[in-house]
Amino acid sequence: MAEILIIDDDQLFAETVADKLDSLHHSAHCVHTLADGLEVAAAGVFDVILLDVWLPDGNGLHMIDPLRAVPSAPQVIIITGQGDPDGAELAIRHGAWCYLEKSSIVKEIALSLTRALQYRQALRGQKAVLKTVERDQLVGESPSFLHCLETLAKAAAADASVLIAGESGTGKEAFARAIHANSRRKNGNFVVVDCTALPEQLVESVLFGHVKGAFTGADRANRGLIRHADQGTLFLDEIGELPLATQKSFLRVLQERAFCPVGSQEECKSDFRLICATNRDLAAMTEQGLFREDLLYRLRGLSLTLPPLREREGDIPLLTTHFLSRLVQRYGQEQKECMPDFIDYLTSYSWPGNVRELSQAIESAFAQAVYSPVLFTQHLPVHIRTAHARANVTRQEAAPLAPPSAVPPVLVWREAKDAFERQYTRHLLQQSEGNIMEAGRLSGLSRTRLYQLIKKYPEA
Amino acid sequence: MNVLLYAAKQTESGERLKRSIEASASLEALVHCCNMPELIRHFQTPDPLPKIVVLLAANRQDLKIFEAYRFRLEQVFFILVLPAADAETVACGHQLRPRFIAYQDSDFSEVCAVLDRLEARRDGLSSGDKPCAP
Repeated sequence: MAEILIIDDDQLFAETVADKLDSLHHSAHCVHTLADGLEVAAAGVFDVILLDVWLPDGNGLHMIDPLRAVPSAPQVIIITGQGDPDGAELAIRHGAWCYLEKSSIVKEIALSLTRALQYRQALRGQKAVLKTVERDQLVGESPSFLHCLETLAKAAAADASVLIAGESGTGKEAFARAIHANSRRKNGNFVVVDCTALPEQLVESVLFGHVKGAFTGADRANRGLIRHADQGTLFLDEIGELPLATQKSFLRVLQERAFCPVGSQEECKSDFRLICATNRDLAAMTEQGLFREDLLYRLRGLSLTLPPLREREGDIPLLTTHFLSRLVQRYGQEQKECMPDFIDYLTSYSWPGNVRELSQAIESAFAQAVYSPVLFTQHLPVHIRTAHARANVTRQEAAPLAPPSAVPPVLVWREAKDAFERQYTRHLLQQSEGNIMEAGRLSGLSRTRLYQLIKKYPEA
Repeated sequence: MNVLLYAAKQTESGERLKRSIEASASLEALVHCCNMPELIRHFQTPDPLPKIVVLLAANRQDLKIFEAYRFRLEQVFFILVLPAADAETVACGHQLRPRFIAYQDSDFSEVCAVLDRLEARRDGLSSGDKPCAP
């Protein structure tokens, strides 16, 4: 049984929810203002607080932090009659457990509450000892991924140059390493050249090496990365960034497997296998004169295009399990489980950063859940939770306009006046965020009159 | 640009590397680990590391220790400074999967140039290479 505090100015609704919670064997306590809610929450021990947004004395979204900071550190579930994606995002950013619309609360509260309570239970976890293990990230069973593995197998058996294309984070370097590790060159070096990180003036000396005194600062000779790759594999990451002048020099290296270090006339040889990666359209770059066409022909002895994660159907749960197992092993923890909705959040996200972003998200969740045997959505990075919250809130559509021919019925003066006052009071309190001074300033009404209106229309 | 630097205290190359990085115009924050236990503490917590990690290996033994924490270096831009340029040391260095390799007896101007290039790319400066501060 859990202790639950309901903060909602709609007394009838609060009672209805309390009855529902009672049927779920929880104990519910209702208050109707933020001030009362904060006082009761601070004095009591609550597991969960159900918090309305629009309250007579303020906006509930602004009170999530203080409510979560009370000694019992309850989870806060936002309940609102007006679904709003921005409000949902704000709620999650402020640490709310979730954001429920009142229209569906009776149906949805049980699961949300169960998860929140399980999460609280899991927070009391065990500590860990750290250790490390080997990494292997070629995980997946989707058809597009399996197709890439077939190409990888062919590439490993051959010695031709390979061009790996794909969006950032799709695992191009991991594939390149796998090709090397499964090839006859596996005992040689796998040498990475990050073309994005090399300033133009450094590229040739880094690749081809230099002799002592070749340029200012060349106090000693340097063999260069191409010679490091002798008998092994040279991996040019983001080759689209290679300057045009260097492309020309490198083309000659590919043709002859020979080159001169900077400042030397003496030719050096290196027997390396070339694998390149790019997230750019090299064919389009050749048309724009930004990449040499003859070099492109040389690079793509075998071509491999890795699919973005969003197109790898069914792979996200597999990758998640893999990343989690790896972390568990590295940090010497017990195996962690994922709640089904944790996986739902992951599978519904678009992953613009692909596998790398997923890996980082799982690492982040793991760090958050270091003492918990179970991963909850709450452990995920906030941008993933806000994306999910936004996608699942149906924006309130404007009420359909009445057909022009439908003339509203005429109310008696007293009813029309009451309806106007009720609506005006609600709008005024929303605009002033429940601040009576501000409401007085906006409306020009006296403090006494305002209190009369609030008393007359408590639902406002 | 935030950098985690490991360079053992009171070594000439370590002090020189630290000064070079500190002179970089793009440096925002530098965390300097002066000894191996301090570095290992950073590796052993699952919290994210700074985006750039520069490790100066004083000897082959240091490279072996780094190997145990290679997984922590996969998510960052990792610059490795090797103690020597012999084939065996170089092979050990490539096992660690660095994004850039420098040598202990260099003047580290290339490390600074790479850091500035990374920062320039981050800022979306197509012209590229900002100079090191004097």
